[in-house]
Amino acid sequence: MAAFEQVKKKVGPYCYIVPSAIIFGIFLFYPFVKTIYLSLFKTNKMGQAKLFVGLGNYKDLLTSDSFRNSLAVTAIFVVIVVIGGMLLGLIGAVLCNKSFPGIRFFSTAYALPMSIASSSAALIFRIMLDPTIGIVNKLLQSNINWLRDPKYALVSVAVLTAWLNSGINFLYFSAGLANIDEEIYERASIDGASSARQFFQLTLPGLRPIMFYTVVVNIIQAFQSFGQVKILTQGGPGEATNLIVYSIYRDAFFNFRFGSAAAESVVLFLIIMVLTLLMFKAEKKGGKAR
Amino acid sequence: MQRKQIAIFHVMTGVTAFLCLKQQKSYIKGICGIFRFWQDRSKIWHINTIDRINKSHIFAVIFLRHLYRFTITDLTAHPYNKESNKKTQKARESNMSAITLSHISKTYPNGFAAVKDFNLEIGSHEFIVFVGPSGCGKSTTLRMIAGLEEISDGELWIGNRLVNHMDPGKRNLAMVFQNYALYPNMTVYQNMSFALKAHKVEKDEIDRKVQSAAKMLKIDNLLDRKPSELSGGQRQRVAIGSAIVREADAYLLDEPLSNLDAKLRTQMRVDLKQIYDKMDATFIYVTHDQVEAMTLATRIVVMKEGTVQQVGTPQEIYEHPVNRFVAGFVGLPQMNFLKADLSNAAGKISVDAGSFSIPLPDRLQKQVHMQNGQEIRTELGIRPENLSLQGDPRYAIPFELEMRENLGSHLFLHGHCGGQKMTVRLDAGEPGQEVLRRQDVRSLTVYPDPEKIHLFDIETGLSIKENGAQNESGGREDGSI
Repeated sequence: MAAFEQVKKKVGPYCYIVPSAIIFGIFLFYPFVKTIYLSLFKTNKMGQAKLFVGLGNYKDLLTSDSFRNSLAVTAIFVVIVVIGGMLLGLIGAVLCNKSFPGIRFFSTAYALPMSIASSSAALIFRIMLDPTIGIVNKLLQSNINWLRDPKYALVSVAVLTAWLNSGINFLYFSAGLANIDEEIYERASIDGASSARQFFQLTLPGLRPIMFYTVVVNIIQAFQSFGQVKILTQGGPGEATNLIVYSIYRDAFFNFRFGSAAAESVVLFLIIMVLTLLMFKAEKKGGKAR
Repeated sequence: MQRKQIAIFHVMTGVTAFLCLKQQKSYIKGICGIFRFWQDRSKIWHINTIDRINKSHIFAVIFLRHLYRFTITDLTAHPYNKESNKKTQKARESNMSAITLSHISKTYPNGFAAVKDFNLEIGSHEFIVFVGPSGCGKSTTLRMIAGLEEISDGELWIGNRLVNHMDPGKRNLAMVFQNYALYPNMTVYQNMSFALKAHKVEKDEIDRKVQSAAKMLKIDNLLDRKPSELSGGQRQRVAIGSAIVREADAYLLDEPLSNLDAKLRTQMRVDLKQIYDKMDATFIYVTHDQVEAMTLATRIVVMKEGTVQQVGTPQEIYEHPVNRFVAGFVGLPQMNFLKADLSNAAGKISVDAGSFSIPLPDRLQKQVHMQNGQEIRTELGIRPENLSLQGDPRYAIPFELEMRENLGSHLFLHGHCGGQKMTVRLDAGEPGQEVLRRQDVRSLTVYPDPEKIHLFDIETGLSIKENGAQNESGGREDGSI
């Protein structure tokens, strides 16, 4: 009897994590391990591992111009999306931090991109960016083929993504601003500090804790953008918008090279992980220095 | 102002978007034209470019400008700017840092009047204390002076400048907040130098001022710390230090000591007084604590429900309160109020409270004019410290003792007089205390100092004062009946 009690005491707690362990196992850990496993094989069209090639897929990737192009394109894309998205969110949040008539309307408008699916936004943008009937060309009185010109395609997609991400950033920054004591602005205004000074010396430092979190989330989000590219450019023109995620998709479901796609996924995972770790390190250091 | 500008920004973007959406071609053209004009700015100015700026652009620009002006800066159009009283202006020029509040009032959009017709002239090197119960408008008044609240009506002058619509930063005031309002991400040194930096004071000068202020406040060893590493008292000192490093026209303090514990508060009160003595400056101080008001002020402004009750030196406020509210608010423990009627018998007016009757002191006799047999309802006000156990037998007042509190230096007796609450304060060694040796003594007779009896009209609450009493209650009617 005592032995049973002891077993119960030892095993009991683990029972509680079984449900989530099963869910995580099926939808997270199994695909994750399977991806790494697949990346070491050549596969058939059904995605079954057929021939073990070791790191061969990785070797191929790193020597392929297409993949290097993907890396470069993704880097530019991420920079534009993170900076643009965060700036948009921050500006919106700062503008909506004060109460004034109509604030609900404006804060809803700024937060709206959060609730728009990337593919539906992309569809609307496709119409707006159309060279002949699009409103963008009409307004600018220009004649630019935004999505078919290698010069503009990546920027167009990146700006759309930045706008889409700005909604959640608006929310983060609004929460961050609400945490800043109103009274210090009153004191600053009596102290004769200009609005710019107040922004850079009070608002930005006050947003610092949430800023870190926002940057991390934004970078991860940017790396994983897919829907917009699929609908707007399909990676084109040429390979101008062939982001890593899209290239994975293409490799797997058009070329049926699941092994290579899996290897790309692993590389993307490593990039994101290293970046995130670096940022955590930087944040810790920064925190100590302060 | 900032809030309004942001609102305008929104409105402007909103209007633009609205016009675009309505497909009003001319406006779209107008906006596009401006955009193209900007795009083409590197090209040579040719006829074509000018042609693009058509009527609609001009209308759009005029419209937006009007919108902007109409909502933001009514300063230049403000009537007060034009009608400047030359006489008062000259008087003000001789007294640069004087602050004048004339008919200041504050009404919130929901109709609540927080401050009503506030009038006050503050000279340089005065320590003014606004005191009153919470919600009496004292903080609102201070915030209006600082520029954090808009003034609904009236004029606010600092020196010879009308500052009603001036930005807080340009009024040259320094303020200490109740919750200190320290910048959390800056060190103590950066906190104290912030305002000076904003005013572009030279670095050496800043350093000198911060160091000397820090020394004065004994925080010179904390200069590298962050506010989160400081105790409440230290934060308070930093907040005060950040204010006094500046050469402001006036230093505004909004309940600066109310977050400190009792011991620290007393200490800081003394320190504040010393700082004030060292500096040749005007202080305006808001508190609900009458002890702070009495000890710090050169002049006290007692407020209630948005109205000024009395303005005067602590002595005046204590000795000659203009009404029952001021009399009850100042002084600890509170003044005793006994309902009593004045009656005139054979030309001699006496105060009759039912359980006792005392003659009206001579100095008040002249103020009360009444017919034979007429009765006036009044309230008798006697401070606990003006009651003793020995005195003129004509003024004997019966007192039912219920409880005594001995504080060593003095003794409080709590009890009743004819059903009305009464407190007596006896100093140690005051004569007549032999009767108190018996612990079960209940009935006593107390004697007020006839010179210090106050009488209040029960209907208006106003004091019935003796002749020649100092009273600066700004436009209140005389208390005589």
